[in-house]
Amino acid sequence: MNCEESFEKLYGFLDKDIDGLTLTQIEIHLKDCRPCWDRFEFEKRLKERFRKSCHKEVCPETLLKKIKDILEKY
Amino acid sequence: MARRGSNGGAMTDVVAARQLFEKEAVPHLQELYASAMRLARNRESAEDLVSEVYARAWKSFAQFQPGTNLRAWLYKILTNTYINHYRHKQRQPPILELDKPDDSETGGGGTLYDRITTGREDKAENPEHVLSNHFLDEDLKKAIDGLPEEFRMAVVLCDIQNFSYQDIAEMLEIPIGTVRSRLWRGRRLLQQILWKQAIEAGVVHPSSAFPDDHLSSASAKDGQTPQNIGRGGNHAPGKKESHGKPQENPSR
Repeated sequence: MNCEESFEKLYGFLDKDIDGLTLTQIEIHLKDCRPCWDRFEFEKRLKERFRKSCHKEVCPETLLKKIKDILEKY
Repeated sequence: MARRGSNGGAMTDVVAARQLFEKEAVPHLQELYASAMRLARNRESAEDLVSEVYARAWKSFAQFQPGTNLRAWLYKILTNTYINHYRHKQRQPPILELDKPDDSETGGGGTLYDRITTGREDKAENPEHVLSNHFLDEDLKKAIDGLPEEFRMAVVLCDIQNFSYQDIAEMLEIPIGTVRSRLWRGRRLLQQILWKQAIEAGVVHPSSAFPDDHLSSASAKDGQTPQNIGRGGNHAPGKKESHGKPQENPSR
């Protein structure tokens, strides 16, 4: 697998949407290709940053109360 | 979503049902709220949206098949409720003048990584340091909020909530290939938005390797050069949302 082919599979790789053989081929390529390894690592971190920043939203207490009320009501 | 038919053994014991609901469904409140914030993009609507999701989920809890994926079922209700009842009330983000992602463009040009690393004097700076030092949580959330809705939903479900493509396809009732293409385009757009926000904020500089960087900033009506544009400046491609980071003076 070359750089271009591995880049095409970047998101499939990050999202675990590829088969085992393709996964192995990408891993072999990344082991040998520092620029691609850096790129993939960056994308992985970026995805992680998006996830973490969004999960920091704090659910208001009032919402939990509203939901308890809903359960009471019906 | 696997659901039991209306005559398929609905739970009759309300107390037991409520206990089960509180044990299984209520713990997802925090993450559903986090997702609702990115869909509705303001606290009040996010709260309303999540309340409605729980009201609907509770009302149809008898149809839920124990042992199947409750979390995915809740998200299915969330996306349906949002699509059917909320999105029309939402002001859509301005369509940003982004370069159209070219699907044939597979060489990687134009990603955030390329913009950070290509043809820059400060190339030596580790791109991951740039990411952690110059892109704040608020910037990342604001970038997601700037995505057109169909891409935003796919990105939230995949990147933020880690659902599989198959789950997302079922929730949004679209083919799995469409999930892939929305994620591909959505992430490219997201990275462009993020980069443009950072240029406007003055924390990164337009790269000569990407003419689009200059074009977008130069499109500011009063002809300011990109160098004069600081954080909070009203010179974005299209109008900016007013929420987000407090206005600050240009830091340079």
